[in-house]
Amino acid sequence: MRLFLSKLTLLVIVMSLAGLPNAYSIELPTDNWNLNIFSYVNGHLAHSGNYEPDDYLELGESSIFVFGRLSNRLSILTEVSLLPKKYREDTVKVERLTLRWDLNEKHRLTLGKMHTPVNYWNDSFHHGRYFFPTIDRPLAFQKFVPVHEIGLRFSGSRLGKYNFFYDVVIGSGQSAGDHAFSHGLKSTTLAIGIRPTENLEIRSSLYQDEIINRQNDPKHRLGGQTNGSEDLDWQLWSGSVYFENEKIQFLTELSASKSKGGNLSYTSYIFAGWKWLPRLMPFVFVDFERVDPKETHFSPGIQRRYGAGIKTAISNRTDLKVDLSTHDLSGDESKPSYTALRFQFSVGF
Amino acid sequence: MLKYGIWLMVWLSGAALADNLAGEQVTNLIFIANHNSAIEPDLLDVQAIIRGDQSNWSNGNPIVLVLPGRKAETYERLSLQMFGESGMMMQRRWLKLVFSGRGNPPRYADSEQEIIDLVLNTPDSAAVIRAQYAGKLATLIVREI
Repeated sequence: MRLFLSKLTLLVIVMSLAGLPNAYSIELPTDNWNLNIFSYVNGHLAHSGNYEPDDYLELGESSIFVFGRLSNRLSILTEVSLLPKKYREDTVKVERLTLRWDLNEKHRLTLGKMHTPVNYWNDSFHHGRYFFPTIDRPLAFQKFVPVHEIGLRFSGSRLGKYNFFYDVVIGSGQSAGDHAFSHGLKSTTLAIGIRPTENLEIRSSLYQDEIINRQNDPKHRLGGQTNGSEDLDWQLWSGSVYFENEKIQFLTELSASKSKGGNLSYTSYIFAGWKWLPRLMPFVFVDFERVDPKETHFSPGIQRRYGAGIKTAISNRTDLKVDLSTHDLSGDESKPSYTALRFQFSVGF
Repeated sequence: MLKYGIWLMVWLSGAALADNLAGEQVTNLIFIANHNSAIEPDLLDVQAIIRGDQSNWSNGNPIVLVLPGRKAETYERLSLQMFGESGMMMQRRWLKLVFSGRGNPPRYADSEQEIIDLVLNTPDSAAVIRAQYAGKLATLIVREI
């Protein structure tokens, strides 16, 4: 399945490149095919003890994004990320590959590998650091958030006075990875929300999945508490509030996870930015994660991240974020807390 | 580390001062659309279309939005009036929208005349131009903003 996805995505990219009569630029997308490329570099300066190297510069993944309109109602979307072997085992990864059928003005059906609509971040920013408000994703993404899902998504938006929207996804589940439906239908996502004004979006979601043979799951902590081949039901609740006007950008992401028989674990991420100048936005963020000591699926512990920084649009296609942030990983004694000056240079065109 | 931080902040502040929209004038704009379905212009949610919240017409066909490119006369004016921010930020907003899978990729035109020509020749397209051109567009849906 993975090989098939890669070949299909490559075909879509080649088709879109062949369809570009002129040199592509952000101002001149072609009629039916649209190609974008995103990439980034991260820098890190810190006195951090044993955990992170004091200073480093690393290349981030590059994403090739293609949108193609096949007919009035049917469109295809792909996102492929590339990273040298030095940084990641899989140099080429298919992040998204979907076919979308617009049923009418307000409802649509999507099939394929997609990002789960569990929260605002995962449904909006995907792998484009160029759009991230902060350098990192929220801590919830390291454990709780099921980023990808292969399945069927039924969506609607702009319903009623408050612009109600919904997403229902039935999928293969996290254990299946790129092997679509290898265990049948295992996951369900229900996301609902409103956009009461053009500046505000509030959403909530419930994700339910069954981890198959959880001891083999890469997110399962070492030395799990129960026998090897046990399958495990778990649920994730997420809530997001996003506000943006000409002066302020604000995002909060909350999530609570519970495995069968376990207690509640939760995360909270809050970001607030002030658009001081058209190109310059100072920001602050706080990120907190607590995984219950009795949790049997995710590694228990407490993590905190907080900091302040500046995001600036250097040009139409380049962006720079700089922050001074403290990372407190008290759940793991081998990773002490540290403060770092970090930057992320990202491009999108 | 502090030295690097201060240097970066100063440099960023200088780069960020490059454009400021305080002096931009507000002008009358009109919304135009090349769409065949019987639709009352007053019922159109122009704000939702320009901001990308609505990506399909009522008959389900995709809206082909034509936005002003960097050289177009209304590049800054449209973005200031509809988004309250610079043209560059409008383009970024749309890039994010397309990337998220929620919006159809817009087309960009480098002049108002090019925008009008594109809308006249592209079924289901829509755009915003200055009101002074309203009289020449009898075949299109025209609505004041």
